[in-house]
Amino acid sequence: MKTITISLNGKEVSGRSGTTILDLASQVGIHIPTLCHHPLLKSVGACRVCLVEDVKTGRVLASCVTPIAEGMEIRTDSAAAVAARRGVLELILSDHPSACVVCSKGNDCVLRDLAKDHGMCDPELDPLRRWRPTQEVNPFITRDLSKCVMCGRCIRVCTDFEAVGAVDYMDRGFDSHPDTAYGPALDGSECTFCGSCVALCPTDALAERDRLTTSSGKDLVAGVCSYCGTGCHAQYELADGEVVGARGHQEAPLNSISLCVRGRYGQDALSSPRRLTSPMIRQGDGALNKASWEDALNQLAARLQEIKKRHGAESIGVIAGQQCSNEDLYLAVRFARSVLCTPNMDTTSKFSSRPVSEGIAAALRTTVAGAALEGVSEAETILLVGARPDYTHPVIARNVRQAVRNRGAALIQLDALRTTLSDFATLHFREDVEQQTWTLFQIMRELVATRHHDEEFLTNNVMASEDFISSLMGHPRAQLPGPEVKQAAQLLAKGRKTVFLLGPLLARASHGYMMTRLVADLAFLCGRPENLFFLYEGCNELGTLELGCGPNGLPGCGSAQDPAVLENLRSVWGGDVTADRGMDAMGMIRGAEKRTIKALLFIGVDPLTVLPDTERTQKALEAVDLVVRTGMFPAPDREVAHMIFPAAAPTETDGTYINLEGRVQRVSKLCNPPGEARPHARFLLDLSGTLGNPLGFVTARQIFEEIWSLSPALTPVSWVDAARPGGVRIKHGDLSSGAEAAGNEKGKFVPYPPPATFPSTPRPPRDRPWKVYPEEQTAHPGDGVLSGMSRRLAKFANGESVRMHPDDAEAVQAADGRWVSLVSEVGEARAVLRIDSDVPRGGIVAPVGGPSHLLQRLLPWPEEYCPLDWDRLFVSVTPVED
Amino acid sequence: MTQDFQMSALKSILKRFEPSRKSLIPLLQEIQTEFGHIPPAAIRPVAQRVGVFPSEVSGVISFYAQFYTTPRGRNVVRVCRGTACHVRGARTVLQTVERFTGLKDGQTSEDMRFTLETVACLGACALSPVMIANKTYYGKVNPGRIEAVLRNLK
Ligand code: SF4
Ligand code: SF4
Ligand code: SF4
Ligand code: FES
Ligand code: FES
Repeated sequence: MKTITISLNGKEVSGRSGTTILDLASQVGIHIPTLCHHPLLKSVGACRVCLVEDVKTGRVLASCVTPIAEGMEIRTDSAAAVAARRGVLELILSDHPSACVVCSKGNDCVLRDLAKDHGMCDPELDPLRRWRPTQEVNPFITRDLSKCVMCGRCIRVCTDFEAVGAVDYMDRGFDSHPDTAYGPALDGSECTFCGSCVALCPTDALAERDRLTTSSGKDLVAGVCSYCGTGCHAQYELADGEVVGARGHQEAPLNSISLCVRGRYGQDALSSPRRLTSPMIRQGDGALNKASWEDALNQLAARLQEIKKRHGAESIGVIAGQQCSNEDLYLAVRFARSVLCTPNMDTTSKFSSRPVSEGIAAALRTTVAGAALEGVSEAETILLVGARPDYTHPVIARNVRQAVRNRGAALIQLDALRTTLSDFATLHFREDVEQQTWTLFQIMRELVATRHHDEEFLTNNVMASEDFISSLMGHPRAQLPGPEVKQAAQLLAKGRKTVFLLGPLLARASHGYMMTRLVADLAFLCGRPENLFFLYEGCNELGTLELGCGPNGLPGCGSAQDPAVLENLRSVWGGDVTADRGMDAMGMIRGAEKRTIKALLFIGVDPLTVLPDTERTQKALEAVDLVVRTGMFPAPDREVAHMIFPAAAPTETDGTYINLEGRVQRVSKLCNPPGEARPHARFLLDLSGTLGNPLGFVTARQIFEEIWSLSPALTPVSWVDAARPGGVRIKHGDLSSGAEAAGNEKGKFVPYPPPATFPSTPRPPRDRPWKVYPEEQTAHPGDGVLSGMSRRLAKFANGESVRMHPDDAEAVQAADGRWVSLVSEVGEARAVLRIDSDVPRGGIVAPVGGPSHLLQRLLPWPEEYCPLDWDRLFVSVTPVED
Repeated sequence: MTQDFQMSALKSILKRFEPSRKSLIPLLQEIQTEFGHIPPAAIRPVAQRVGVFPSEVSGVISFYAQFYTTPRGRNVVRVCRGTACHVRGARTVLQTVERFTGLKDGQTSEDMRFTLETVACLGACALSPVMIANKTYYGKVNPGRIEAVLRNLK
């Protein structure tokens, strides 16, 4: 490319042709004021604040859109340039309300900065004010367009960066303003309330609603969002020791300036007045009373010792949550296996990932994808299987939309329901999971039949690839492919950059394992196994797997039965380490029913909101002598614990988390926990100490370093590097966790021959004819415990509802907006019914997560530990009085 | 039902246009010719067809004076407010029309008899003040003549 030299403020500087004057100036450290320009957005030259003078021609140019040209003599500070710029500012300020004293943008307001830099305050021009009322009813964003400077940043970020396109310029001339397709408010539009437009709006025209402070925060500190497995890097605004706001960061590798509605506006949950602030102990009369940490720990230690003495260590179980940090989880495992000496250790994450993570481990022999998620926005084809990132992982959905809108990628959706991404889909197979297995098989056959598959990759990288191909092509149930299957196969042809996203829904489907293996097979045929991602729900769900938080696991990705791993652990941990295979969560609940489990410790888990089959779980837990939990919040309706220890939030302690693509990211303590709350890790350390077995850790860093020293299979991660935006990714192939390495040709992927008979859709029982289609809620990710405490998110998802096809609703004689009762095999739940002709006939769409934990009440505990069989949940539906 | 009828008419129009953003304006013009205005319910289907966001379609509709999202009267009266007409009494012209029709700029009467609009120069300054009723220009108008013209529009 050609190099062009210009004179800039008297100095010769050169840049490549096409560079704008503004970019060149910033490269050489010359500041030009700007307003509508933003480095992530296409420049449009809307505001003219960036004017500079070409003294050779006397022309005044908008530097953000003017490319450099040979021979230019640019002055950014000439009298003409400054006068022109001041004139522009004067015009902008003349119709801007000068109520800067109270403004939520505070010191972040670009306009105020410009005015200050130019020494301008009251414009001399007669003000010509546009007054527009703010009309938002949503809980997140207010728009006061009288403060709008028409820079168009909101429009560009929404259309090009978020690829949502909720707003555009409306009307003309002086009346023009940014608005939605149907105006006048964001409510009811395509808006996802990601808040990126608010973050980029240079004035207070777009502002965050119900902020905890009336101005900008005092400090910005780096952290990681803990609402989902994406693990977005966030900058938290602090004021008076509280988190008052969150924003993305241009340097964040995955999310950049984006956050989603939860990451940006759900952080008010952390300072919820309902946070637990002191240990609570259940009294003889059943009441929960406050207690000091010392008393509570002493009592707990005494009870545990007594139970252990009378019933043995195996009568105690520990269950940890997927929002715990690696350090918490590691201590939980160490505490269970070497302090209590019980093998009964599990996490809740298995409910949301087990069949898929096991499928991936068996096929790829690793738990994390080889590629980074950023690649999704560069993809040419994206396959969504059981994945609704638009609800579960909104920032990843942004990448999907970017790929489709900005790069023309094809989106193929396998989902029984329509989602917001369906508008972007090239192909949508609207089928139940059972049919999806068949569809995947058909697509694979078509790929091979048309020789669109990557033969070379298959031969070199996949075990017994010829057998695999013949199992596909020689399958007895082959059929002629339909046009959609043919098109899908073309879109997945070798050479295209294809990304496969598997979602949490799959982990709860009875055929989740098979589906995962079939998608992995497809990825092998496309030669793209590195692009197979599973959207882990919890912010540290992958951490729970890596740290061996299971009945048979040990930290360092070892199996408890591996003598080498055990030997190593014994030498580090000292003393006894139990190597038995313990009970999983399901087993512990069964044990409680059989009265063999006498004590249960829940670390960061509120059992009745997270575990399935609320009724049965409650009964089981009521039979346990000692139920203890740590947590941030009181139980929403029923509390079964005998002792509750208040926990710190992820922002209130040092710790590391592993996101769904294997990034180890560190969060530093940003503020103090409320009252007496302590980190889960602190609780475990204190309890070990009280039990006479101090573990000797003082800082989280010491724990972290012990974890990584025990994990030779993992890429070394340093405490310092983990704090960088995006942290450090554990690399593909460095893990062997869960893979049955024995007997496999080393390093090759493992195909899964298609089943001889494909699953068929189960028939509903006569008395419960309606099939439940679970639907994740953007406002309530995962178990919905944290989001339920956010005032704004709770308001947003106000009134959970279930949806039915109009004809089906008529059949059960239920009307739109009326309450219905759903009764499953195990329980009952009530919700408001909405009529929606997009719902498949014979089905009822019910929310996952959400404050009422509706599905938890309806789901039976699975016979096999997992999956949860969400796709076999049938209910009766009857209208009830409001 | 009229709603369904409109939707099927809309669908057949959509099919006649290339699924490309270049089709946006001709497509909107066609819809307006067919329905007399652009029904808001058409915005999303149009956006889908030409591959842009609904807000962009709305933006285009609101930018061009030629597009309307509400039904228009049988008679469209436009009063010029350009400089030349302004100097020569456009304000009185507008007031007269307003009084006769009971409408303000941009409104349509309930009986669908009139739609009133103002324009910034009709390019006939020599004849100012100017008013257009449907496709006819009326130059050098005065209140009496205006009322006579309007009375004849049914
Ligand atoms: S919040 Fe996000 S989706 Fe909504 S208008 Fe702003 S940028 Fe667009
Ligand atoms: S609302 Fe804000 S970002 Fe959008 S055009 Fe106005 S000033 Fe710019
Ligand atoms: S996508 Fe997940 S991690 Fe990112 S901001 Fe949203 S909830 Fe937080
Ligand atoms: S910053 Fe260049 S025109 Fe706005
Ligand atoms: S000003 Fe009215 S026609 Fe030109």
